[in-house]
Amino acid sequence: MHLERWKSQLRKGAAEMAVLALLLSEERYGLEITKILQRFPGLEISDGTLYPLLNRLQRAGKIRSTWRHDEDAVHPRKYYRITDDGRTFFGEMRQAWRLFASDLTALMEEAKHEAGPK
Amino acid sequence: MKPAQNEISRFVQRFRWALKSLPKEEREDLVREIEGHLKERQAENPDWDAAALVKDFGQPEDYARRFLQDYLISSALVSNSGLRMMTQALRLFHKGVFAFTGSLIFLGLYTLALSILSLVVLKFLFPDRVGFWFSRDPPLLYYGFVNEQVAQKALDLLGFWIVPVSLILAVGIYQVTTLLLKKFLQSMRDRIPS
Repeated sequence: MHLERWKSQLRKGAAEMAVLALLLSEERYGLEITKILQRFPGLEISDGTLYPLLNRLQRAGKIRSTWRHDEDAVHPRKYYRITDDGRTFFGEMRQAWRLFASDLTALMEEAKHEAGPK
Repeated sequence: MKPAQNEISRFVQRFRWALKSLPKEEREDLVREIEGHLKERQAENPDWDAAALVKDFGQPEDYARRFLQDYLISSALVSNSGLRMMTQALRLFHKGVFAFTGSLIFLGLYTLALSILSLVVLKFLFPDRVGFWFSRDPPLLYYGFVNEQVAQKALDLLGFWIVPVSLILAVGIYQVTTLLLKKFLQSMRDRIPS
């Protein structure tokens, strides 16, 4: 099993949650979301991966979009905002993530304890 | 026009063409967004060459497919049409063992429903050959169309009642299959990576 492939699967699994988290507090457009995620190497997704994900979230009613032409922009931008349904969904994701993270951490601690000092 | 701008225009044209199955408004919305992204990247990185700008998107036709797949599945689900959903399930045939097996099972179930429905018509055309057949010697329990030899020796348990029974069975199998297929497609949509 390839480590980079595993890491890529991990990032893909968390991508939806990461995008919804970024939209909790304010509207953002696609390139802006990509740049923020690129600041977190563990969450980085490519330019091309983001838009199908946003499309899917919008189709599922978790986010909605509007076009705006910002003064500093070369082209109109499509801004995304989270919907009420998206907030509820994110809340459930966050609960599931906390449980997953704490269980995995506990398991690793147990395994480390059983393995003993090396 | 600079080479990078040419590359963006070419990419956008091919992407637009590859999305032709989408409704116009949705297609233009997507094209506008991707074009805007590429132009903004180019403006921020004027030293990037054309290939660097589009590398994360791959070939425009492959990139378009990632949007189309989701759209076609979502439309089929909303339509509640067994035919549309089955068409999408067959398109996902090659996506792994789960998709392959699922598609075959649903195709089999719809074929079964259609076969049972055909008995409704066949009963009027061949009343002595279509039925729910039973015999002890040789042992036989069979629902459908038989040859003359079997028809002479076996007992038809339903007679013309096979018509309403087949209608109810066929409709029932179709409805249950369509419901299960909807769940299958929803789970496939969630499994397909963006």
